[in-house]
Amino acid sequence: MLALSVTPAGLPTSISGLRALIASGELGVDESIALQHQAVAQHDSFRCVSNHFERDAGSAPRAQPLAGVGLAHKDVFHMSGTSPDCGMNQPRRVSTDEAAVTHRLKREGSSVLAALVMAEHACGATGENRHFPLVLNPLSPDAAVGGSSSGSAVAVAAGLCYGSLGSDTMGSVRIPAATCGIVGFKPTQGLMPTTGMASLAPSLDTVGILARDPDDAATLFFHALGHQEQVTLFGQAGVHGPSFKRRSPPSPRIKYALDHEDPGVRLLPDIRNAIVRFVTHLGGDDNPIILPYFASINRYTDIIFRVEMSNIHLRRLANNPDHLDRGARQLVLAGACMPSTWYTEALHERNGLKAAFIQTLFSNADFLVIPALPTGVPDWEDVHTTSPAFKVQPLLDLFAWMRFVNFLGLPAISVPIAMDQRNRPICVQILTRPGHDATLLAFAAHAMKSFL
Amino acid sequence: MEKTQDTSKETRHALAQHAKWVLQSQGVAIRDDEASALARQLLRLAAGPPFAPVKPCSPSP
Repeated sequence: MLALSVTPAGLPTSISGLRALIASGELGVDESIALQHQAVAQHDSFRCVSNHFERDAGSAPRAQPLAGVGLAHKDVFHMSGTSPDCGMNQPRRVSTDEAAVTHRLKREGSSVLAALVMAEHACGATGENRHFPLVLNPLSPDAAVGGSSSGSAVAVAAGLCYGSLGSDTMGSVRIPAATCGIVGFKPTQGLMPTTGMASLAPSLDTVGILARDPDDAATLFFHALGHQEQVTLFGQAGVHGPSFKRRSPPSPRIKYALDHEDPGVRLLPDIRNAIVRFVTHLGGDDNPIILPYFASINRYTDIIFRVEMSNIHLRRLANNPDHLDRGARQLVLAGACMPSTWYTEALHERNGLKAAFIQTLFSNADFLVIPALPTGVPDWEDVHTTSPAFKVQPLLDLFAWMRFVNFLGLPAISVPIAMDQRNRPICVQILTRPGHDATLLAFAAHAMKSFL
Repeated sequence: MEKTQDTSKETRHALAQHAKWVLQSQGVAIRDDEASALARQLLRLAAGPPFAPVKPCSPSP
C-alpha cells in the first residue's frame, strides 16, 4: 500500500482521523471539502478523474457522521445531477435521478468530489479504455491498474478521496483494489441497492466499496445501508461514530484454498507462501482445501455474464457498431448466440449450488481465504490489449479467482497482506457467509493489523 | 486424429455461419474473423465441465 502520512489535501488519511479533527473544531467542514477539491484539481497526475464536480452549495452540519468526507465514485452512478458516462467520455448529461447508495452517503454529510475513470461499460479486467488516457498506478507507472473500477482504486490509493463506490460484476471492485494495494469490499448481493447504477449483468452486479482500510470501508458500508440492514448486520442503526463496528470472532475458524480448477491459472510461489503465512498466523487450518463445484460455478458465471450483458447491449450494438470495444463486443455477441438452455440451466442450478457451497465451506468455518491476483500485479504492457507484449493469460488471471463469488452472491474483501520482490502488493480475498458482512470487515481489520 | 481436426473445423465453420445468421437477424453484422472467434468461444464454453449435480461434497483433504 502507498504509505501516506497525510492526503494530498494535507488531511488525515482515515475517515476516523478526519472526523476527529472536524469534531474537535480544528477543521471546518467547508475547509475540509475545499482542500479536497483543490487536491483533485491539482494532483490528478494519475489520470483517474473523468469529471470533477462543482462544490456543493452550502455545507453539511458538523454533527453529521460523514460531514467533511470527500468521496469520488466510479462513473456508473447517477450522481451530482448528472447521468453516468460509463467510461465513454461523452458530454455530461443532466439528470434529476440520484443513485440510492450515493444519495444515502450524501444524506449523512459526505460530498461527491468527482466521477472516476473506468473500463468502458464496466466491462474489463483492467482500466484500459480507448476514450481516456491510460490511468496510472500510484505504486508504479509500469504496474497495471485493474478494472473495471480503475479510477476508483487509483483515486483512493493516491489519497484523493476517502473512499469510492464501484460496481463488482466479475471482480470489478476487488481486482483494481488489489492492483493498487487498497481494500476492495464486495458486500452480500442485494444488500446495497443498485437503483440508479448502470447495469452490466443484473444478476451478478453488486455495489462495492474501495477504501484505504477495512475500517473506512465499514464506515461507508454502514452509512450506505438502509435502516433495517444496519440493524440486521450491525445490531444498531443511525449511530454516529465508530461504536457500530462489529467485533471479529475471538477464535475464527479459517479455511483456505490455493488451487484453481483451471490448470492454466497458476499461483506464484511467493504469493502461495504469503497466503500460507497469513493463514497460519491467524490460526487457520493446516492444509488447503479444494473448492467444491468450482469449475461448474465458473462456467455458469461465464454463461450468465454473457447472456445478461447481451440483453443490455446487443440492441445498442445494432444501432452503433462502435458502441463497445473489441473484447466487450465478443462477449455480447457470444451471449446472443448461446443456446437459451445454457442460461436457464445456469439460473436453475444457482440456488442449489449456492446452498451446497455454503454448507460445504461454512458449516465448520467462519472465513475462507483465497488468492486475489494469483500471479501478482502485472505490467501494463502484459495486459494492455494493444501492446506488442500483450498476453492473454495474465489478463485471465486477474479475474480467475473473482467471478465465482458473484455467482454465489457471497460477501468478499480483498486486502493487501505483503509486498512482492517488485514492491507490488500481494493480496488475498476473504469470504464468508451471506449477511455476515460486518463480521467480515471486522475480521479483515483485525487480520491486517495483526499480520502486517 | 486428422479426421477429428477436420470435423472440429467443420463444426467451427458451421457454428460461425450460424452465429452470423443469428446476429444478422438481430441487426448486428459481423466479419468472418469475428464469427470464427465467436465459434471458438462458444465451443470452449460447450466443452467446459458438465453441469454440476448438486449433492453433498466434502472438501479435500
